[in-house]
Amino acid sequence: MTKHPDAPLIAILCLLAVALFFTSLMIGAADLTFAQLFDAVISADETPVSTVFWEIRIPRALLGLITGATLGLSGAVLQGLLRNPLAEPGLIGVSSSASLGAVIAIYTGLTLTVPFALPAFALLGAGTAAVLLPMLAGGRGQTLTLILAGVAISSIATALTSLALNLSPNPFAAMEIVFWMLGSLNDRSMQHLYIIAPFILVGWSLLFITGRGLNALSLGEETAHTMGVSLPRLRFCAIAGTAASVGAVTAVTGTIGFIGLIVPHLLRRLVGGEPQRLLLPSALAGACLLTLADITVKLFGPQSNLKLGVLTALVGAPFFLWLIIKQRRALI
Amino acid sequence: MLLQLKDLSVRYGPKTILSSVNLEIGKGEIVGLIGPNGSGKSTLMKAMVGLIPSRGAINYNSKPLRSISAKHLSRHVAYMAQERDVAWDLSVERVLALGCEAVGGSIRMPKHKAELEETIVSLGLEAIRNASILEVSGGEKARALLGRALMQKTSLIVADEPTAGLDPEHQLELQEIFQNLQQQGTSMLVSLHDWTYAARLCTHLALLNEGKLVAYGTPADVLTQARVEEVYRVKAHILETEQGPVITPTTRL
Repeated sequence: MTKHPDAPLIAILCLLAVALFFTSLMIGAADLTFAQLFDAVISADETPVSTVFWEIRIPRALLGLITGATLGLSGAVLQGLLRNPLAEPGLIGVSSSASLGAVIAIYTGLTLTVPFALPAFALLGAGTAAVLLPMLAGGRGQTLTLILAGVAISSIATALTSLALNLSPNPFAAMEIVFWMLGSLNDRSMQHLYIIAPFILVGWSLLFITGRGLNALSLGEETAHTMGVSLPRLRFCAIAGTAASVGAVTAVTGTIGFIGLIVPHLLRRLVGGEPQRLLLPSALAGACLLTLADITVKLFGPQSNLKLGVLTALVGAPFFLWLIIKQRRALI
Repeated sequence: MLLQLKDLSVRYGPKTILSSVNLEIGKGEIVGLIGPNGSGKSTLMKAMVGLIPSRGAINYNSKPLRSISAKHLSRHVAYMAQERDVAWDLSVERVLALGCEAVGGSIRMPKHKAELEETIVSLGLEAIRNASILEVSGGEKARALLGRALMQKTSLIVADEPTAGLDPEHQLELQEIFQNLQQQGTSMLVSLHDWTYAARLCTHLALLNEGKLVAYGTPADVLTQARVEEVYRVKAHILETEQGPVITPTTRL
């Protein structure tokens, strides 16, 4: 057996993710030194520093890695499934439906009375989108109808979210909705991670098993079928996997765009176009990129109130434009 | 019999595309599927490999297609679609390897690596093995995609217009490749538009017209002046040469 061709890249990304994870732990609103943090880790006593470390910094850093990995991985899978470099998790309507679920929870005031109503409703929203999508796309669910169905679901969810904002009972609820929708890893606890863990695990498992099918799909849907790929099963794994994992992270962090679009593109330059080879590197690079973005947000300090989703959009949108220009040049 | 079609019919809504086609393909046969545009050639091929629903019986080695899973079928028949659109920037070698991986192989295993090397050499792809499939010429792409089908190591290859867009040199090259495969016992069903090419390449021809199989037999039996006029509505000039017949359409009827 020969060595895996991407082993060095995967090793570098793993090391980078670990380094960024520890950097993220070091940075925060409270100015803590490495020695203080180290004492808090090894000490059995509960001190203010250990509380900051275990209750604030660890969940935030972990959530950054998980969210980035989910967005990178699902982006790579969806680009492979739709045979389109402009596909991203937001395209199939899962993120906006999760947002709608969360907004309903805030709008109805359930977030104030029922613990974890927000992530629960967001997950319900993502699940609804995942069920509606194949129904709207039709039995054969071809690429174009899948994209159109995703756009339709996304538009409806966005319109209903706007309606909730429009009819918001008070300015504070509207403010909460807007801030939540901007996407952030701030003030999330380990409880949030425990809630989403099963969805993430199931989602990632479904997404990772699509690799061989996506490779065959590179040669076209008909050819893939005759190469033994069950297209309905492949679509199920990609869509259910995205709904479970992206739905779960959106439920906790709000909408964070562009990571799923950018990461597979950056990686394609390094590992080539083969969809299967993109999966693990995209997950790792997504984790790195999002953690890096969150570190940047933390460096601006709490007083800046800069949201993570805003930062990724600010960086991602110009990248998206560049992609369109490049695509246009390729067509000329 | 490797493949047997009995009363095969395909309908799209009220429209009948194929009507009661009976066809058999034996070991080592090259069957050419000919007929005017819209006669049902591609539909027949797609129905055969389970891409579209059909009525009647499709049997592989006497086993009905319905009882064979897509995975299992990929070990019996390889399909080369008319569509040659590849979505991503893959190397020619990787495209071939996908065929091997489709049937559970891996080019990291010495046996499959050797098969890959053999196919690359037999298709003359050595010089472009590391080139991107998106950047090679039409002829090279067709050979690479054929190589992918060959790497599935099936007893039957179904190719939908494999010569489309190829220059004469590459058409002749493909003919040699098909004939070598035939000598190794591989059977083929190939849809073609060029009568001369079909007559020289194929052991048998199946002529479709308006969804019906109107003639089946040796090229000499099928490609007669009268039949060409009736089915294609053109006059044809048939010239017998040492290399086989040369059949040229001359005027529209």
